[in-house]
This record gives sequence, C-alpha cells and structure tokens, in this order.
Amino acid sequence: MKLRNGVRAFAALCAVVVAFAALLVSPGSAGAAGPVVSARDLIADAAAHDGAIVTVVGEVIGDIMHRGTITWINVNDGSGTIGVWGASDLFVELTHAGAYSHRGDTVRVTGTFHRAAAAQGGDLAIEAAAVALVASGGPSPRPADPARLRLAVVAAVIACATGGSWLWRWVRLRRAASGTV
Amino acid sequence: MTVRWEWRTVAYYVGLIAAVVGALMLVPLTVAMLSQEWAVAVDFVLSLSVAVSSGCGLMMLRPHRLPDLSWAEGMVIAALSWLVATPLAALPFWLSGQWLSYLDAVFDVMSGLTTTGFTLIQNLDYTSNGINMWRHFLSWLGGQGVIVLALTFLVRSLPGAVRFYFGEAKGERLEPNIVHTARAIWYISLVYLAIGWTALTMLALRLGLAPGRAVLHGLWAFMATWSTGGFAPMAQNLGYYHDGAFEFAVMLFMIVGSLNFHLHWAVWTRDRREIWRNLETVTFATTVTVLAVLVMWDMSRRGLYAGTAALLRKGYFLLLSAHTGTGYATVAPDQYFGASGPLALAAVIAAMLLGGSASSTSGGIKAFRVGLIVKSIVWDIRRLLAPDSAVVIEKFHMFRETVLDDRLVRSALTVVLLYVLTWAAGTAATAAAGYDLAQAAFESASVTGNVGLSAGVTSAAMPAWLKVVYILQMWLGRLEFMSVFVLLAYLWRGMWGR
Repeated sequence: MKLRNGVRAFAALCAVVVAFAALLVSPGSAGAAGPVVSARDLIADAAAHDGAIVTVVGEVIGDIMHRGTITWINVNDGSGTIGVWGASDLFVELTHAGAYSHRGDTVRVTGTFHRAAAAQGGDLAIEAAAVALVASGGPSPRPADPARLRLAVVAAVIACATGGSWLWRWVRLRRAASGTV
Repeated sequence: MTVRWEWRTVAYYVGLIAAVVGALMLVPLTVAMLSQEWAVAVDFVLSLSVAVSSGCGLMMLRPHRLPDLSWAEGMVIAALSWLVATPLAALPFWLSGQWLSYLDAVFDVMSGLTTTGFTLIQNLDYTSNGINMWRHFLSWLGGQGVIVLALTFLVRSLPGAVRFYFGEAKGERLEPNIVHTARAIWYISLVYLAIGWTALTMLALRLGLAPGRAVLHGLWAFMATWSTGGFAPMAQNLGYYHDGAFEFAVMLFMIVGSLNFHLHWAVWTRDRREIWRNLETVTFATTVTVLAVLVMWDMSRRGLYAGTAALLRKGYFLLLSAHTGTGYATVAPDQYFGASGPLALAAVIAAMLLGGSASSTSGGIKAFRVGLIVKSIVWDIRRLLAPDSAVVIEKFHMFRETVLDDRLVRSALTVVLLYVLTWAAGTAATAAAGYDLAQAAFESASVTGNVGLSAGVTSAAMPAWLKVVYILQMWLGRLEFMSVFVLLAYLWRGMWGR
C-alpha cells in the first residue's frame, strides 16, 4: 500500500516537473514573450502598445503570403484580426489558413507591435520574432442540408413552370402582333 | 381604366427586373459549384427560383400592347425596381446564416447595389466564394445601374426607355440612342474589367496569394473598386493585403471608376483633350488635391504617420476612397476616426458628401454640381463688378461649351440642398440612437454619399430602425431623390386619386 502511494506521489511529481519544463521551453511562454494581448485591444489602443513586445494567439486566416525573404499572415483571435510579418523561415511550419471550408492553423505569435510600421508603409501590424504552431488546421466540410435541398428542387420546378408559362404567353403575343395567328 | 393600365405596365417592368435578378444569380451559383460549396449552391438555386417565379408572375400582368412610358412611369419603375430587386437579392445572404436577420441581409444588398459598401455580415473571413461573388457582383452591377442592365439586353424596342434611364440618375447620353448608350456603358465597364481584373490578379499573385484565390481576389477587388462600392472579401478590408503596389493600383481604378462614363466615351472615341477641359474633372481634381493636402498635413502634424509612403498609403488613400465614394480602408476605423484630428475628419466628411462625377459609379453631390455652383458665384461677382448696362455671360465646358443659366444653377442647388438635408436628418437619427455627434455626422455623410467608411456606428448591433433609416438614405442618395419623390407622388395619387 505504502509502495503504491509512493509510486503515485513520484508519478505526480514527475508530471509537475515535465509540465513546468514544457512551459519553460515553450517559445510562447509568458515570461519570455510579453503579455498575451487581444487584437481588439491592439487596434483600439494602438498608441499605448506602440513598440511593445506582445503575444497574440489566434487562427491564421485567408492566406499565408510568402514574399521572398518575408512572409505576411493575418491572425484572428476571436476579438479581431491583425497582420503579422516576419522572416519567412519563421512561418515554415504553417500550412493551413482559415477559410469557408478550412480551419486555419492556430499560432502563438510574439513580436514587436507597430501602430504604423515605417518599413511597411505605415501598416498597423506585429513584426514577428517567434511564431509557434499551437494546433494544426484542416478541412472543415459543410454539407448541404437535405431538407433545404428538397425545398430547392420544388422551387426550381415551380420556377420552370412559371417561366415556361410566361414564355408561352410571350410567344403567343409575338405571333398575334406579327399577324401569324 | 387609365390607372389600371399604368399599374400593369409598371408591374411588367418591375417583374422583368426581378427575373433578371434571378438570372444573375447563375453567376455566383457557378462559382459556388466550381468551388464545391454545395450548401451555398443549394441556397442560390432556391433564391434564383423564387426570383424567377415572382418575376415571371408579375410579367404575366403585361398588357397586350406595351405603351410608351411617361416620365413619371420611368421614374417610378427605376425607384420600384430597386425596392423589388433588393429583398430578392438578399435571399442567398439570409439563407447563408451569416447575417443575423433578413433586415441585415437587405441592408447589405442595398449597400451593394447603391455601391455604398457598408456590411453587417458576420464572420466575413470565413465567407464562401459563392456569397463573396454575389456581394461583389451586386456592387459591380449597382455601379452600372440595375436599369442599364435591363435596357441593354431586354428592352431594345422600348420607345420610352430613356425615361427610366434618367430615373436612375444617369443623366448623360453617350450616344443619341438610349439603348446604345446603355450598351456603351457596358462596353466601357467590360474593357476596364478585363484590364483591372488582369492587373489586380497579377499583383495578388505577386503578394503571395495562391493562383485560384488571386484570380478571385483580383476580380472582387476590381469589381468593388470600379463600382466605387468598397466591399472586400476580408474583414480587414484592403488592409488585409499589406501591399503598397496593390493599393496604388486600387487608387488608379478608384479614380477611373469615379469619372463620367460620357468622359470615358469622349476620350476613347474622339477627344483626349476633354479630360483636361471638362468642368467636372477640373473640379474633382481640385477638391481632391485640396482636401488630400489637408488630411495629410493634419495626420503629419499629429505624428500619426511619418514619411511620404505612409502618408500616401494611409492619408491620401483614405481621402481618395472617401471622395470617389469607394469606402475602401487600409486602416481600421479606430485609426482614422479615433486618432485623426477634427480638420482631417472635416475634410473626409466633405469629400464623402462631394462624391465623384455625374453618370459614373460614384454617389454624392457630384463634381459637376460643385463646379456649376462655383461658376455661378464667379458669374455673380462678375455681374456685380460690371456696368449696369453690360450683359455678362459665363460659360463652362462639359463635352461642349455651354452658357450658364439660372435654371442649371437652381437645379444643382436643389440637389445639393436635398443631400445636405438628408445628411442632417441621418445625423440627427444617428445621434438620437445614442452615438456622439461627430460619429453621427461622419456615418451619415458616408451613408448619404454612398461611401461606406465607418466611424464605428454601422454594425449588426445598431438599432433596427436606424438600419431602415440608412437603407432609405442609401437609396435616396443613389437615385438622387427625384425618382423617389415621383414614386411617392405616384403612390399618393394611386391612394387618393389626386
């Protein structure tokens, strides 16, 4: 019994140590990367954050825009979307961007926030120093609703009937106008 | 007997527009199917069927012989067509579930067709290609005019076509024949579509979009730019692309889109010097330059942007977007509305109300009227300085030399007055909903001038009655009042027999 308790205590201690070590080596850990700030706060209070090291966690949306030595992404954290640029090798792990039928990669971006980045024509954006992949994205299928599909078929039949009736009447009017009937 | 005949004729043409709206849905339906967005495709089939059924139903009311239209009927058809086309075109939006209510969907369609560019959509970044195609296509069609489309393809033998062409505030004929004019407008639009789509697609590829997305984003960006609509497929609007060259190309197309179709036609077919002599282009260039200098000076003075590139990409872009009525933004509303000073905001509000050229895709008061009013002030001063016996004549050049007269000035002043009253009413309504006065004045100018830049008022959370006010404002601003007034008079006469 004592032995079993001892093993349990040792296992719990190991788990705590491993978890703590994971936090320390994580590139986005709070101590090394500055506070996690929402995109909404950065945009609404840009002057206050200008030049600060910040961390944003969110989903890559739209496109991963590789432009030679630098890459741009846009990150949506649920409160808003903010642009991020940095050296292209920071973004090599990213493969999915969120769209209608795709979930984008979730990333933790740490870098310098610029209210108006002079190097980027005055864009409000984060100049990334570290980009970590938190979760991979992937397909997010959206199948058609069978009930709505049936309704669409019925509506299409009615539209064909109404359109056909109009066409028939129009042809009759044309013939009457040209004196063929 | 007479009243019944009038209603059947009007019903026929309105039904025709409804059927055309249904047929136009084939375009986004195709895009949805090519993108394998089957749920969206089903929504378009359903919406298309409703539009075609209701349109053909109304067309059945057609009298045996279609009579020539009176001016009043032309105006009524123009105004009613928008009211019928809008709820039908809103069906796919509503079915998609990305708009919180049918009113929100109707708001976005009116915003698209009037080339305003406000949107109440939810989760824009996750919108399907089919829905995005419909949004931008509506905006592009709205730029040419719903009626112009019908005139081009469907009513070639209509003797009174000119009536509803003018009813949609397209005041200048490019060709003596009104249907040829409508076709010329489409010819101009399609040539620019080919050029603009190609250019923006190449730029989108250069800035890192995948080929398929570059083609679609190039097309949508051109449609929203040329029509001066300002819709965008991403929530950050044009700020999504983070690219100066892309923004520069968009600026060029915004200017091109805000020029008079008649001016395009004149330059293409006979006289390139017209662009430098035309009262409207000279007025537009002057007001853009003066207001842009004010905005950039104010932004620079406040330390918002440093360096020419940043001032051009943020300050000049914002002003040009406001003046042409496009409503594209490269910065979030918090940055241009929250951070700019009163001088820059006043300049942007003035630009939104002034708008682009007559007979263009732009809204607003229009440069032609501003130029006429300035000319009339000069005329008055010259008359005061001249001897009593002198006859002072003031001329202006707009495709031909014309002598300025009081009738022209009065007509311009009437529209300016109506615009200002509409803006003031919208400002009062917005302020009454609890927003501060500066926000209300900015938003109301944007709605009245069919621009789409927001001070943070327009959102799904705004009161429903304010959405209705904005829908009416967008409609009034686009049709330049007269068609709507004639429609109201027509309804009054129908109800009271006077």
